[in-house]
Amino acid sequence: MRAKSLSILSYYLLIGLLLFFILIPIYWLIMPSFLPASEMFTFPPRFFPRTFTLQNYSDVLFTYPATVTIEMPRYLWNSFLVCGVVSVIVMVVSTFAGYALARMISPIKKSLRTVVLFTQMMPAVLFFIPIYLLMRRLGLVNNLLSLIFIYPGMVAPFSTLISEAYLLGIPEEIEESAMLDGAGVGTILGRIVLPLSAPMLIAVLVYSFVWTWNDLVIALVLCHANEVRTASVGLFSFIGAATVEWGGLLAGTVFCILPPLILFTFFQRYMIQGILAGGLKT
Amino acid sequence: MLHYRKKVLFLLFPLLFFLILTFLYPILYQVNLSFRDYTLYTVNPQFVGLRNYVAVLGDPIFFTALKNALIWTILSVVFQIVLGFFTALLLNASSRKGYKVFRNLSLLPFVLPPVAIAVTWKWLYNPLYGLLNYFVILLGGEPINFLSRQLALYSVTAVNVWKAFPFYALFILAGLQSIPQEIGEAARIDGAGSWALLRYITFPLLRPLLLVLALFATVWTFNYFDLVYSLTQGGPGQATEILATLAYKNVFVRLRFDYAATIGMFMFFINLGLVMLIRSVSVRGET
Repeated sequence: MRAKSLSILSYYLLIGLLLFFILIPIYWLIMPSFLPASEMFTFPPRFFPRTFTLQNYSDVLFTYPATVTIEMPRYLWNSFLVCGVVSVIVMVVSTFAGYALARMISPIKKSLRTVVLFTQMMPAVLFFIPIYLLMRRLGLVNNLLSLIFIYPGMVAPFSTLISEAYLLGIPEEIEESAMLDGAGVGTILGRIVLPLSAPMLIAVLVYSFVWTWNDLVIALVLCHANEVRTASVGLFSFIGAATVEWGGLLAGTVFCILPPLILFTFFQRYMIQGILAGGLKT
Repeated sequence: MLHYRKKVLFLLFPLLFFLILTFLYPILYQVNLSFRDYTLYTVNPQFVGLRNYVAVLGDPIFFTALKNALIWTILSVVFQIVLGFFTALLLNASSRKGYKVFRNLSLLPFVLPPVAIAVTWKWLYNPLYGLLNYFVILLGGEPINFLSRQLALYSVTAVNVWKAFPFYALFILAGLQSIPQEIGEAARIDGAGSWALLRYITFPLLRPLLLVLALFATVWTFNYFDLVYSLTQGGPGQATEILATLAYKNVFVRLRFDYAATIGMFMFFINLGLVMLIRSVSVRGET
């Protein structure tokens, strides 16, 4: 009995140690962002701060936009706009397609799933040059619309797999009686399927919002001008700016991680279930 | 009923529209572009046959980037899967509660923006006041420049491993939990120890899943631009240049759209090979 409780203890110790290594870098990002410059560079470093300041945050929000034209509030707003619109589009597209895949007869379904999987495995990073040239021809480079056109196609394949996996779990019998009453596809989707799909919709929303928020390469290619930068591109241009202090950079980074952090903290159950369900099927 | 199943088909149209916009059109256009002479100033791109392919294959930087990309991919995937496997074994042995706490916290690095991760690690790797060098000095070493020419590729890889191994651990854990407990119990009654159990039962049963995960990880890592570019921009020199960053620079620094497209084509072929490998392995896993 004693040996057993000892081994349980060592399990928890090992898991705790692993978690410590996973989380310490994030702590080391957030904690110093609340320190004044004089304390950030003390050696040996202090693990628990004695002072606290919001100076770095007010630098990012108010000083930098006026002095060094690094406008974090604007970048964050751009990202919110793009991610919001893209997430809504992706929710519609992948619910439709996921439902179609879940209810379809098998031969076409198999080849369609292969196409979806194929696009999932061939990231559009491979094709950013044609995408850039296309958007240039359309006059959409440095226009947030270009991102709104491109992101859904990159996010939707996988989120379609998430919604298909979920919708397969809704028994068809519920829909059949409505069909006999003469209900069309739209009615069945809107009245029967959607009200049952809240967990799936949340999973798709969180997945597409976080994916879009985190992307760098496409946003860097299509929207690099100051007024259309997303949070990631804005933060990236921050890294190279010689006039910026580490304090401001860390505070800007904290702003940038907040939306995924909050979404993930509240909705991770749905997201993990969705990803595992969509991923394990592949 | 059959009629309804046919009507459902039109629900696929929005997805197809976006897939054509982001995949089909770009693939076809890129193939075309790789056979033409096309820079920023070209009005009418001329067909030049295989000239771009010859030029790219004659460029030593291409092979440096290919070698870096292979090192970065192989090291990342091996460490992600191996660490993920052992983490999953550890979690499988602990209680539900321990698993939940771990799951809730360990995926954080995976869902944060790569650029933010890059800032965090630049700060940790900082040669003057980074936390890592504090530990190095504490252990009696000389401060290390983690992002120097010799070390940068490995330092960037380490960040990638740190970021993603818990994600693979959760997938492998799901696989472990799908193994019926009776098998392990029967083996134990026959006198199998922990190591024998792992070696002869757990590992063989998990091998198909591990293979598929490893191949997916390979594709994702090979094409992963964001983390490398925001940490080092491919530098110092060409120390962390991978094919994705090289293609990007050919567009925006050298303004050679045709070379960039050709590099993209090489990446496409490498990806295609990997995807075929995934298909054949996962088909074999099913039967």
